[in-house]
Amino acid sequence: MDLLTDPTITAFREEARTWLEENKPTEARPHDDQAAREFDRAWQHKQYEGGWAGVAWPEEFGGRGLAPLQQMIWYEEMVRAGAPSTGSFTVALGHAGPTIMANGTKEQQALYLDRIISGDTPWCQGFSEPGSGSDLASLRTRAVIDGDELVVNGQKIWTSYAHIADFQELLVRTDPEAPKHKGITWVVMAMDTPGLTVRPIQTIDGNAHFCECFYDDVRIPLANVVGGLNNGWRTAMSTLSFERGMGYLQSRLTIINEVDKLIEEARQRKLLENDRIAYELAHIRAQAVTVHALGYDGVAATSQPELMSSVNQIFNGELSKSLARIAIEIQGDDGLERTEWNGRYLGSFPATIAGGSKDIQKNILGERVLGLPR
Amino acid sequence: MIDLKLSDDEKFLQESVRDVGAKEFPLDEGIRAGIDGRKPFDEARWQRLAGLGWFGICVPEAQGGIGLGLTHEMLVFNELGKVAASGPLVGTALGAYVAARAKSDEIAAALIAGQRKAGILVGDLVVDAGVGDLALRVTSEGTELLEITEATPVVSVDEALAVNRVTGTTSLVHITDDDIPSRLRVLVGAYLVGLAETTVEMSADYAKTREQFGKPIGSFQAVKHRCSEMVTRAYTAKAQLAVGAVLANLAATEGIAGSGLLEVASGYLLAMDAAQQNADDNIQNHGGIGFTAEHPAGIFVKRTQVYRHLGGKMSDLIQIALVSPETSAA
Repeated sequence: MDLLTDPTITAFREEARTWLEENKPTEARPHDDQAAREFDRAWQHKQYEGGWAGVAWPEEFGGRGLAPLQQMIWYEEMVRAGAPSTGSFTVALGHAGPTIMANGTKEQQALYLDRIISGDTPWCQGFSEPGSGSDLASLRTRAVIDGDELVVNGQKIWTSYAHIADFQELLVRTDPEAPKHKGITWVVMAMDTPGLTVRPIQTIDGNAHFCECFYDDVRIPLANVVGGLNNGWRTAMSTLSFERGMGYLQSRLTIINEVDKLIEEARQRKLLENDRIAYELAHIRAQAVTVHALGYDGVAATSQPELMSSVNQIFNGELSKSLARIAIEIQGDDGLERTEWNGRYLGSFPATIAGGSKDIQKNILGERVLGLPR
Repeated sequence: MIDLKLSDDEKFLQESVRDVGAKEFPLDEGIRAGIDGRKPFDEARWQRLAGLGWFGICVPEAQGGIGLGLTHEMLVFNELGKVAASGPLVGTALGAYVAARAKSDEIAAALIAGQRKAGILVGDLVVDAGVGDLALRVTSEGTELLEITEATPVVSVDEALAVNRVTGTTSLVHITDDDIPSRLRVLVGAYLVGLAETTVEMSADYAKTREQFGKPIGSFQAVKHRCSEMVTRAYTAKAQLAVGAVLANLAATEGIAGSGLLEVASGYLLAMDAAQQNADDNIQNHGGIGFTAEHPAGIFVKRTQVYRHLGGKMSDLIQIALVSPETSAA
């Protein structure tokens, strides 16, 4: 264990820091969804032109081909600079892209990857269904082969940014007779395909980023299948482990900025003199500092992937919620009015549900790491 | 940017301490202490540990130590925590380091060689040291190594450790180097993480074999999820403490003042919680047998009650954690 002082690392960090200072957007990400889409595209495109999109993506797919270590440094500098996160490109960069790199054909890679990394096409993820949340493999959205097309009927839910995405990574059941993990196919769907209806779901914080997708005889070319027919579960799992590991690191690291802002607010309200609040804030800050250590741990990659990813998911989810809860306490009676902090609280619930609920993560730790019986 | 991979010599040290620790500190000893009362201090064992160099890990070779870094020492204390090792381990190792810093080479040599030992002084209570021994007092103002001239035994919360109320001391060494509190927290924190890790193992082992309603209790989510929460606490505390150790070590090797202060305090806060909560949950997982004196689960509860006080005042930790410096990691 050591501090890395290699001059090439220091130089990389300096280069990142300078570029971000000169190029990060100065205006806030807009609230309006269409405007946010264009903001995300412009920011991703700017990073691409500067050579900073996909630091750890292989060079053949337009990335810089560097190691997770440089990826972590880039994230650290993004957070330090207060630069916007990937927003509506999170699925494209974090799941769809890596899945196509690992499982796609040369044609599929040529067709989709360049448009992701260059900031052209946001993606969304059509996985969960009304009857299939934690038990994802029970999904029932049906796809029947008709000539050289799949005909899809069914419904997806919790599809973030479906209303502003260009493509969807979609899981469909292609063999209803096979055991539930064996009859699933991973396919790319263009969001302008006839028969698809997208309806945003308003959440209790007033936002509407999660959507429902309805498929009514949606015809998708068979050529869009990635990783082979009925092999979708394995294809999908290669992305989910990424999502739960380093995938969300950048947005997770930003929490230290939020914590520091809240501590400052508590200081101004003279609440750090309250022992209990000071104690709780100190613990929350210690945990926010630890998010960093878990990033280094991810780079070192010495633990079993399930251990790292589930610990991260549980720890970061609980931290997000603790921060939101102490924030509403700190703002006290001012919280009768909608503020940034109680807005954050109302929006904090997905933290321990989305991407595999904390309960499922605890099953994974218990069964696959500790070896407890199912 | 910090590399958390263990180097070959870190791995080697970790494994050798693990082997020796399991042999020298069987859990049964803690159980017997709880039932029959504490046995006299095991002088022969102390000599064997001293012979392995464990009390001089970070003391420069020129002053009789091994000259390794704080991450090495952290690994040693993590392994000692896993077996709930007794004796004034932290006080003696850190005491030797402090004496060496102050150029009191004779005191350092005596501690490293196991001829003298030093307990950590908390208020006027000292753990595992009596009249004629040394006591190490670490505060944010400075660090002092004292000789205990007068002390009376009190009933210890943990029967395997002796606690004395100190009424007379002579000051031997005093330094104001501000990285000593962090070094103390790394060692105590590593020990606490070790306690937390062993309780995870104990709970998981028991949950696999103990059956109720015709199946192992580990198949019930109430138990399974509690075990998973225990893993999460131990894992996150360990990662953060390691980052803290790397940075705190730079205060000594590179002269970077205040290096790792926040990171170590953060790791220590997590380690305290992990040890405390895990010890508690471990008993719940075991049911009735867990709170009997014949079961080792109680050792981890009691040891945590002692060690959580050794790393400094909670008010200091809160102050450090709430200061807003640049987030670390050059």
